This record gives sequence, C-alpha cells and structure tokens, in this order.
Amino acid sequence: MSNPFEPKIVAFLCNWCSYAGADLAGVSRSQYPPNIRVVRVMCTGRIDPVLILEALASGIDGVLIAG
Amino acid sequence: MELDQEFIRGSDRLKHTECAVFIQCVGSRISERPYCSKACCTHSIRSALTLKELNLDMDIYILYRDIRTSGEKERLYTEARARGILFIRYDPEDRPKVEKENERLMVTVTDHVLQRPLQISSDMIILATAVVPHDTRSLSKLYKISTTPEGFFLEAHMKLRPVDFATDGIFLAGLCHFPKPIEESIAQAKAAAARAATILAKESIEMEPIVSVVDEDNCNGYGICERVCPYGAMHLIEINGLIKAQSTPASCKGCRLCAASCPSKAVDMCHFSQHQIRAQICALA
Repeated sequence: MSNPFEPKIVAFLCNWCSYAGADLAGVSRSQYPPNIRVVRVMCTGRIDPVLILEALASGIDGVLIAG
Repeated sequence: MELDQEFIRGSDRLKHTECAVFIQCVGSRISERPYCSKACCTHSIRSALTLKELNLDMDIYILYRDIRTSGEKERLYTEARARGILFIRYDPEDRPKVEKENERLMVTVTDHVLQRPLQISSDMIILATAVVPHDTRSLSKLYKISTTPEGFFLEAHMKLRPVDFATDGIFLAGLCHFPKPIEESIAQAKAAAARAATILAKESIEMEPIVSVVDEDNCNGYGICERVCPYGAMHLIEINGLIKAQSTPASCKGCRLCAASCPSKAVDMCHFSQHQIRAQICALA
C-alpha cells in the first residue's frame, strides 16, 4: 500500500492575528491536519527571507505566512 | 422608549388603553444583525407588568421568537404569565403584520399552537428594536482597536482578557462591546476600572521582554532599521566616532522589522532570535 503524499508545511503566524486565530481554533476544538507546524513570530514583517529559504532547503515542502 | 416616557409622565392614555401588543426581535436576530439585543425581553415584560398594574383589564400580548429573560429575570416571565399576559410565538419566516384600521392597529400573527392566523385589534404597539452600535470606525482607527463586523468593539480575549483591548491601556465596558442589560454593564465597568487600577497602582511598569538588541560590533550604521521601525524605537547614535544603531526597549514592540531588514544581521530579538526560529524549523524538517 502506497502512502499518499503528505507535505510538511511550516506556518509562520503573526502573534497578533493569525496565531490568535490558530489559538481560537484550538479553543473551539476545530481540527487541522498535523502536517502543518506553527512557528509563532511577533510580526510576519520580522520573517527573514533567509529563514524561508532555509526551511525549504531543509526538507519542508511548503511555507505558509499568515499575518 | 416612548412608552417609558409615558410611564414617567404618568400619562392618562395608558389607563384607557384596552389592548397593547409588544413585538420582540424587531430588526435583531436577522442576517444583517444576527445578535440578540439581550435587554429587550426583560424590558418588554417589565413594561407589560406595569401596564397591567395601571389597568387590570387591559389585554396585553407579547409576540416573541424566544423569550430570553436570563437568570432571576425568569421570575418576571412567570409573573407575567400568571397575570394573564398572553405570549404568542411567531416564526421569523412569517413575521407579524401591522395594518391601520379605523384609528386602531390591526396585528396579524400566526399562532404556533393553533397554526392559524390571529388578528389582534390594538390601541398601541410597542416594538423591541435591535440595539445598533454607533459608527465607531473613526474611534477604532484612532486607538487601533478592533471591532466586530457589526461595529461593536472587540475585547482582547473573550475569556482571558474580557475587558482589555489588544492595545495596551485601553479598556471597555457597556453597550459599545455588545448589547447587554444595565447590571452587566455596571459589572463590566467595575472590572474595567479594576484593570485600569492595576496599572495606576504600580510605581513602574514592567516592559515586555521581547525587544530588539543591537550587536554593535556588526552594525554598520546603515540606518535602515531607523527608517522601518513603526514605533520610533531605533536611532542612530555616534559611538567612538562610528555611527551605530541603538534600540530603545521602552518603545520597542518586538515586531522585529529592524532585524529582518538589517543587511548586516546586527539586530536580533530577545526570545525570538534567529537561531531559535531556525531551531524550530530544523525540528520540523
């Protein structure tokens, strides 16, 4: 049996909006797939482009930036 | 509102009224305003009881969708039923119709028990209209506070910080937050005052620990950080004849725009440093 492709996704979430949204999703017990891993940042403006490239280079399939 | 004024004036008209009809949920709990205005059920029932006291023979009908006399106010509802006030539930798809007929008002409503239209000839109709917020856009823009789609102010967290805004030092209470009865407004105002007092009671305020730090050895004094900082926390100063950036922790909000834009990577953020975030990514990869 072949496993379907499950991408590894790193989500950079802004502390003030989308992280709060993710928090609310947790509080309301909504479920989301486990292959999204959240990295909290104080502001999505803080994300160094190098970090995104490093993430992709280290084997992450997708990067989500929400803020 | 007009009925309340007549109560205060002690108007004679009320004593000679034969029939009064209250219509609840006028303009609330519909798609444009999905919320319950919360105070009107209690207020209508209280007014109906006052009318009954003025004139025991008056026929009083309350047309409602759901009666929300929360908590101890349920007693008012029970009392109203005992005093002969008639409650008729209507369907939001089939709202009561009001027509003028020979100086009287004719209300047509489908009774949910009989499944038949009822006609009530009434002297007066009291509408429980929706609580609608004032235009708060300019105020919310000025203080950088968020609002709900309906225009009510939104607290920082419904359960954990119920009277704070996400903006520091601003608190909320009362109807600007959501429709609520006066006792809830007072309780919330007391809570807001107590939250404000926690700031006023302190001699000094502890800063957030997430602030920028400049590595002076790496800084080339480009000044990009000074230009991008939205809070004016970055400044160029001269140290031993060299231009260096300096951060002011009291103004810094920790957004780290400065660090992301620094070409020489001389700025980093306490607790959100480059290597900490890199470690998180490596752990996931």
